[in-house]
Amino acid sequence: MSTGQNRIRESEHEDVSLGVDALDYDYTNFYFGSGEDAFALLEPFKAWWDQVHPRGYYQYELPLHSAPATTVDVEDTKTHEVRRGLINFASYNYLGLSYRDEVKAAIKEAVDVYGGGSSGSPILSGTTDLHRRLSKQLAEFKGKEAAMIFPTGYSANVGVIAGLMRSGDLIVADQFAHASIVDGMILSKAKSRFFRHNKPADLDRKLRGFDGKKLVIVEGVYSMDGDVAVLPEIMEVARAHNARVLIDEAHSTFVFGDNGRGVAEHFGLDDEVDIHIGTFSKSLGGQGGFVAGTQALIDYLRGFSRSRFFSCALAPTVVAGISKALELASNEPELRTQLWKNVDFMQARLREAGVDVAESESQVIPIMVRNDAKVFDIGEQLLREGVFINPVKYPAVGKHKSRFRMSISAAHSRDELDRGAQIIIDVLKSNEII
Amino acid sequence: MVITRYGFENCVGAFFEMATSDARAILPAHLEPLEAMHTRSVLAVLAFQFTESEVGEYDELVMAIITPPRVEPGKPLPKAAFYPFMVATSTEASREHAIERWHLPHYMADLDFDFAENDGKMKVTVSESDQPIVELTVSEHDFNPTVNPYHCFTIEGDDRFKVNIFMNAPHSEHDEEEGELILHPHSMTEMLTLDEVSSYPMREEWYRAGVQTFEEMETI
Repeated sequence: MSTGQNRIRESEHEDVSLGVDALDYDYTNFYFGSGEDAFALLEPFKAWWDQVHPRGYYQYELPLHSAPATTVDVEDTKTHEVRRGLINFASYNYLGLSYRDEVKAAIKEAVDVYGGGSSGSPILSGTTDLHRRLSKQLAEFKGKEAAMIFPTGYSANVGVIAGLMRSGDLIVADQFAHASIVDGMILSKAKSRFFRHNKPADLDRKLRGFDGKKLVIVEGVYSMDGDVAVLPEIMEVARAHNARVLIDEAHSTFVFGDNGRGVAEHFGLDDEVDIHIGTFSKSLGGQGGFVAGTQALIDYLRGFSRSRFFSCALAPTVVAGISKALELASNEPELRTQLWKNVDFMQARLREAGVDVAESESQVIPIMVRNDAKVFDIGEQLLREGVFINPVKYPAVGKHKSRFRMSISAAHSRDELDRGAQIIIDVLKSNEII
Repeated sequence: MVITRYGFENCVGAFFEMATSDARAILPAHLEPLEAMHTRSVLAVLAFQFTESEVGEYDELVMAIITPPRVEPGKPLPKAAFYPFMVATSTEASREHAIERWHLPHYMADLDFDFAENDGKMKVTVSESDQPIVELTVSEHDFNPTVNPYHCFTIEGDDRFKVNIFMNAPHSEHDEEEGELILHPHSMTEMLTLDEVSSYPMREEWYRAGVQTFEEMETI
């Protein structure tokens, strides 16, 4: 019998530096490493990256040569060709607003008045009348006393959580909470706990016995699985422990609720939830984030959300586009109706073909592959067959939970949905996934 | 290089969240806990059924804190690194061997091990005088032939050691949270705040019959 070391050297894809097949490794192997040199991980990471990039990781950060519409032109960095007219299931443009003529016209108009950037922090010189108008629009749309804009959705979560909670407080978040929530928790220095995904009983356990300030954090729609927070049960537990509740509706604003306010409205809990976070980059097709709540909450956060006042304010052109997109989304509820028709069609089309879409209840549909070794090969085939969709694998999701994350838009035509679904089904069949 | 081999029938293990404050208290000053989430470190619980070794057949339970591996240019990068803080075995000879050769801290009594495989799961119960101390359940996924390198850190007084370990066996791992850990109050578990150890695993591992290989121990 050979030793382990010898067996390693017999590996098909042997690499001198790593010793085993490079695709057996992932980002987590290069995150930590003890030793004395701060650059100690750079060399092994490069050795790994040089091998795995052409074998699949190239599928991330593929440059688009067009707007994020329902079909896109994408540069295949492996073959160095631009693949044109791919059916786009990768972009967040849930209502198809980012490239609407009205939005583009508003942006062009703002350029003539305000130029390119805002040239300042929002608390100094970066706030324009456009920013003020958008804040008011947001508060009215969410039915709250006030709202405040952040330069990104990430900074909204970080700024709100770290702006409100302190060392000695307790924050309990769903285990599938977005990285921006986790980073906000870290930055706050509060005691942090995570409850099992959508399990109120575990939330109850994590809150029990703590007497200080408490904040519970959930998302409306979870971005990797497309499932919805069990908000009524979570609210019940949170209230039993006198905990405040923050909901991040990044993927659910303009999708759920009679007025599109999100999952909180969907469950009739809009006034019960204490802090409402949203983004402009999903349904509105722009960029940035916001928080909405009471005037007192917003006034306090204005003074303590460091991620906002130590960042440059959103460019006025971006704000003008978001403002117009918000107006369109509010005035055209038929966009939401069409989105749900498309979601229902695609969910049914995939499920009928035997595709595993997990517990998705929304426009975020995970196409479960559950085969970490094959997901990149399948991604490459989909790209070549005419579908642009992002692979997701460990550590972004658990081991053997690899998938493609499909985003459905109201703008997708029935033909695009049908053709895209058929390509996906055919490729999954050819790889014996279904 | 002198190689030490241990043949095993099964090795099952799982990773569980634990309080970072406990992990820091357990680890020597030169090691940091690897955090799975903010303030949540990782407790590894592993159970071996050894069938072939210099000290014969025996069963072993290892409780360890996962730490960052030590990166050494030109050498294989390990899959993970461990600091075992409590090892328990079924025989005196195996304890003497591991203490002398690897400086592994042991609970100094013969414990009873029960490996019960049923319906894709292995339940390991470690008991003393019919009182359970650790109950570990691990579920299987697809098995694939693997040679996984690991770093194991130990100490003896002020001396610090590292040994490279390779697991050469059909291997299954997954994050489906199907397993379970029950830790009972006992001197073996007293270094852990039991309420802070999650009962469900973030990772489950199972090695079928294979070989665990230790390279020579290095002083670091």
